[in-house]
Amino acid sequence: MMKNNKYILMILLGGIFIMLQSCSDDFLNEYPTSAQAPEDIKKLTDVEASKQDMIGQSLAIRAFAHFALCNWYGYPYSHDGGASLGVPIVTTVALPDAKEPRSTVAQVYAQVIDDLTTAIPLLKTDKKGGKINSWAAKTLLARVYLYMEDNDNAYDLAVDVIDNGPYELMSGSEYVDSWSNDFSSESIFSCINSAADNTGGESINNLSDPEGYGQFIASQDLIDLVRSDPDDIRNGMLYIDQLSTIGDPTTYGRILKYPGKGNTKAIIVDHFEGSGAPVTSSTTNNVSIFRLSELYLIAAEAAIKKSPSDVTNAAFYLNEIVERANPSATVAEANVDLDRILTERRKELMGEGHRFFDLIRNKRDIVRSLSPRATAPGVPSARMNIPYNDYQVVFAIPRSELNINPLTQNPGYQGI
Amino acid sequence: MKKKLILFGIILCVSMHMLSAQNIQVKGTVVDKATGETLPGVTVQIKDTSVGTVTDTDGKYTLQVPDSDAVLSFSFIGYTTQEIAVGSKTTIDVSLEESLQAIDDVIVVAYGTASKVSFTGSATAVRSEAIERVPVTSFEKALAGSVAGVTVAETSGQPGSGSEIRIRGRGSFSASNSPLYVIDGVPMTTGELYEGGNLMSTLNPGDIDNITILKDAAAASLYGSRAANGVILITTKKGRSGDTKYNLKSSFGFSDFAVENYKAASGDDFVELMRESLVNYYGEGAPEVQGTMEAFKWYKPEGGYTDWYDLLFRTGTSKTTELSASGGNEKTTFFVSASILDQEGLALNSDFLRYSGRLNLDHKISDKISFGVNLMNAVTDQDVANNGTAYNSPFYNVNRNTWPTETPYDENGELKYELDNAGYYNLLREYDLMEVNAKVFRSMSTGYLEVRPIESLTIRSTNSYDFVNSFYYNYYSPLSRSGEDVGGEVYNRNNQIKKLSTSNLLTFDKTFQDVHHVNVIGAFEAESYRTVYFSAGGEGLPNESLGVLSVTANPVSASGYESGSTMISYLSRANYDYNNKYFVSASIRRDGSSRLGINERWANFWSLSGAWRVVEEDFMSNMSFISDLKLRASYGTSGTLPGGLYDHLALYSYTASYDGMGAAVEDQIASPNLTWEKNRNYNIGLDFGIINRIYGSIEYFKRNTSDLLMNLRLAPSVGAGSTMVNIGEMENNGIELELRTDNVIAGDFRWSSTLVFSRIRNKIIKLNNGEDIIDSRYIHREGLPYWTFYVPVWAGVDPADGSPMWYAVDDNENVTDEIVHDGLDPRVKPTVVGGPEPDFFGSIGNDLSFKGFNLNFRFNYAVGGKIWYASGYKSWNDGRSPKYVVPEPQVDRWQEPGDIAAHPQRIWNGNNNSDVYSTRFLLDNSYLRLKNITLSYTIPKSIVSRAKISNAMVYVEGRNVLTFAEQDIVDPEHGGVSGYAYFEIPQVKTVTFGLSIGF
Repeated sequence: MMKNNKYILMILLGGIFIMLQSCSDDFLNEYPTSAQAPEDIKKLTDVEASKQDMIGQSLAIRAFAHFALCNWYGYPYSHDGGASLGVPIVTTVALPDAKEPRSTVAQVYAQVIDDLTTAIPLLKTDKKGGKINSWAAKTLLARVYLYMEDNDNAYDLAVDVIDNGPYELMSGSEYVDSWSNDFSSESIFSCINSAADNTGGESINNLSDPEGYGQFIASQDLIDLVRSDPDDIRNGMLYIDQLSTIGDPTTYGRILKYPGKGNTKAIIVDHFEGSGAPVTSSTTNNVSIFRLSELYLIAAEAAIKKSPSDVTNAAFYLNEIVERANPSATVAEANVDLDRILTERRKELMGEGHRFFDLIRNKRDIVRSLSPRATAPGVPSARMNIPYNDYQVVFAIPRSELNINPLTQNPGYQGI
Repeated sequence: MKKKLILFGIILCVSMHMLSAQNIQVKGTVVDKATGETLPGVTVQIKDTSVGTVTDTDGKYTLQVPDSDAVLSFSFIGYTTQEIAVGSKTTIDVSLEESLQAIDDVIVVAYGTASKVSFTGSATAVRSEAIERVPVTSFEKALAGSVAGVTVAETSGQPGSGSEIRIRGRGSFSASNSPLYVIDGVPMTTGELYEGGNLMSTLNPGDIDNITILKDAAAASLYGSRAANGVILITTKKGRSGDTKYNLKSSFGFSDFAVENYKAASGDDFVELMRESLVNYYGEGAPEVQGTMEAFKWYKPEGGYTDWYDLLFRTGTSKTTELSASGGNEKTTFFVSASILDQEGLALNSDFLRYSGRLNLDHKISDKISFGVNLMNAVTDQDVANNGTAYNSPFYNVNRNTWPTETPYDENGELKYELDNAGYYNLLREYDLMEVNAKVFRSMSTGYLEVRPIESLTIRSTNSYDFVNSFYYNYYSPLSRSGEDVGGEVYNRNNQIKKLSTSNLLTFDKTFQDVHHVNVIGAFEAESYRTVYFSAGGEGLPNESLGVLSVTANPVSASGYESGSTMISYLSRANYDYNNKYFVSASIRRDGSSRLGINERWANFWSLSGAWRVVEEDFMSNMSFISDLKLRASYGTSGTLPGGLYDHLALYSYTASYDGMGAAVEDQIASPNLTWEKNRNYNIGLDFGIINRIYGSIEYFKRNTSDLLMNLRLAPSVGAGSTMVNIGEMENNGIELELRTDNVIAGDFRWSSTLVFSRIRNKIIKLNNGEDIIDSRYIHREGLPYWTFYVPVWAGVDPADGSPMWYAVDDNENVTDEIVHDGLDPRVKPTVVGGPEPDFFGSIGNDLSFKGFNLNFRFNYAVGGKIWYASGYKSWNDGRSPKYVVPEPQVDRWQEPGDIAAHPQRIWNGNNNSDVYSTRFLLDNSYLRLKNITLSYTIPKSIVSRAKISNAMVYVEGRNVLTFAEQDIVDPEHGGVSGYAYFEIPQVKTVTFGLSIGF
């Protein structure tokens, strides 16, 4: 998961600088035809509205990149109010000798909020799927506020998108197969991945496919959790073997959120169990970044955490997600608490890169269970349970950075 | 226009006037002193004037001279010039003596010619004979070993492949290390566009008259920003006035690998070693031993073992035919040639075909105005066998995947779909199902106009357009292993290069008061270079016989762009000499290039040099045995441009994807201070001649290159990977010796010898913050040569138990006495273990002639230096990788206690990681190679003249025919400059039979 997120981030980070350049219009030189100078890019958009929208997108992508990097390299905001170190803030085109220091998590979050609040009014509101629009920026901002435990703002923004945005939750019947489509009715922003991008072995599909690298597959714990309610439609997100007994270990643990474009579950199963061929190469898939379900869960979590706690609304938004999966599984208001909401997030957002952050930001330890496929010989038993405040919940600042830019290393990693 | 006509008119009148003033008629015959044969085409000139003529086919001339004080000069290429005062004579017959120094008399230098005696720089001239008989596709290969200080590394044996040339060592990290090529005064686009696109192979070596290699600042600085790696000047043949001469040359040659590369163990040895490794692992009599042997069919097949070399390679052939005509009259001279070269390489899919044509035409409108054109057209068509570690590379296949126990045919005699060995490609089947082809068309047109308004001033404008179209085609049939998954595959690539250049040169040359000779030049030049690139690929072919893009079901890729660069230059040089005794020369050039940062766009390059002809001094007059003695010294600067055309610009590339479309990402950060790599050259040389029998020169040089371009990694948080900056510094110094001796000149028998010796030392002076750069098996470190091997140290095989041994290396990279027995032990660490550079290298040649016979042979040598047997890793696996072919040296393995063996005990799955990278794969690489041997016979004129043939010569030529090397694993030249021998198809030896007929 980590590898894949980094990959997406690399692409997004690259996009940060689009349109933000201010250079002179003079060309003095020979220029290549397959790449562009900043001056050229600036000339591209002369329609003011488009320009505003592009600036908005760039700011939102920049915010997303800073937010994501800060969560990997800095301790959760909720632990210390953002006092610990995050990542360098980069808002201008860097010069070769640039050596930006680390800002605190609070400073990075402030920058992220600033970029997003600037971006939202600039952005268009129509549904775009593969591009950032104002709803996508609001979703990100809601997530940022939730992580900061600014629950009022998180709640208001989530409800704003739910009530006013042009999105609808996927229905239960279309839920499983909609993951083989480019977009679903609830896609707010997805990273589009086409055959021409040809990400091959490093594609999210291959990483999630136990026959490929299998780097993020369901643990036995997660499989058991989903299977505990056999009527939950999300059982369908697991590969068929999991529904019966442990079968072919090569497919066990697969979460079918990245089946390859056009490859419905039936096609995938027929490919492995029968003689069918997939519709497309399994290495091509859009990656969902923001979708409506997350906003229901943000609203529920923010409501329960609000002061005073708003259990009614927490239950309302939680049950929208719970009942879609199984209409008869309604959670009584009395049973709605933070843990129940986090459990629902785990089921609903599995394979989408949320669980780790949900645990540590809520100060819950990470209890790992082995995948039934991999007996994980490399994991020492002492590291099976990781406290939420363990030094390893954040990455080390990479050596390649330190060699050039002497940033402060994260605690616990010094001397490595 | 009108003005010009008037000028022409005036010039014409002046010429007429001069003509009418000639009033003594002198005539005579010029003959060869040795043979007595008449010499046509000899230039007869009144000294210090431009008045002259040439001898006719019978060697006769007639010339009007103004008065009896005139001195006639008789010059002919290959002969010593004679001067004779006219006095009262009206008939002057002359016997010219063949000069063994011939071309040394006048050499082509930067922006002109110079007499060898007056030249203050370091340059070596090579005459056409050394090139044209060697059946190479591109002339550089013929230079190997013949010029001191020049390394020509011929790593590949594929027809049409290029060579790496280094003049006085490596000067750059990341920019070009190749010299600049200048043909007839015009810098030439060279290099390899991609596999099979070696641009130099478009030039027919037979069209070359002579080559000069410029080495030091005095010789090369005038080429400024492109001269740091030396300059190779190519002059093509010109016509001479007189009867038209026709020449037909034809040759036929065979080739095979020059040495037995990576020799494989015999079939019996292979089977024995496989069994032994199993026994050593499972134990004698264990069922797995026989089971595995049978599973892999490791036994002698019914039809005997398979010789895969024999199946996948053939005897190469080379055929050339060339027809040329040259001649003209006093006003117009021409050289025209057409040639075909047809080579078949050793790998079945490799061949090279070239058609070339040339017209060199010179015309004198008057004594003052002349013009000329050099037109060249060439088409090459080359099939390339896959190289390197591609599954369909024959050389890789035969050294890795083909067991002698396996045949390419199944029980029905059909070609197998794949090999039993791990399903590797059956190349014999694949060969017919794929194609890699490169076609290059080149047209280079150069024209000049020269005006001499006064005797001492020449104005010449040379303009050239060089057009190259290179088309690359790659095809995999739907039936092929490479193409079957996608239903067949076609890929096309087209690259056009268009270079326009102009050079406008003014030359002033005058001698004052008989002793003060001044030569000054000034020039303005400009150049525009553009490439247009386009490529497309498709998959899914309807059947295996159609391999074109337009029938593909699924066009998968398309790409296209244009790029270019421009350059403007001003240059000047002044030479002065006093009485042919003291010489000084100074040059300056100012270059501006679009490839550089806006702040550093222009740079100046200059040189200063001097020479002293000691032999001319009075005090030398009683040492008559010294026929020549000249001391010269030079210092100067030159540069190298960045390899990239746009390295200095901030650029966004559309390599990212957003919303399903290309998205701009910051790809390159601006480097406005990006500048030239600077090269400072020091040279001291001594030229000598003793009793007119021994000629030579000794030189010492030091070459310092600074501001070397390095790719500086940026902090990842900056968001762009790296940028080019001028950081590094490197130094090369060396000693060069070129010696020629005329051992015997006795009647018809002549014997001369040559010795070329070079010692070059390369050293990195400065890296970014002094940080080492580890580059696979090399380390680049300050104080060490650029190419320095960096691997753990092998200690051989333990005689007690046959385990591998290494010397432990401590934290300071010191090799200790401690022996380690496991390749994965942390003490098995890399350290500095030497480099590929030889201590010294060069050649020894001999030339013997008797009557019509001539025997010429040259041995090239290199002493010291190592070669990295990169393909040995995995091949010398001691049983770890049983899928691989077993090389013959592996047979010398440990079998029982007490064995002193080269290789460890063979164990299935490996012996203590014995095959980790170490000095085990680093081989000493001194060698002596008979690079060239030619025996020719010129049929006496008395015989051939009956058939109206003016001369006829037959010859047999051998190239690389003998090799004596310290190691017998790889071809000693296979590693190239960096000494890294891998799976390129190695060099070949060739025997060629040829004839040349003139009529």
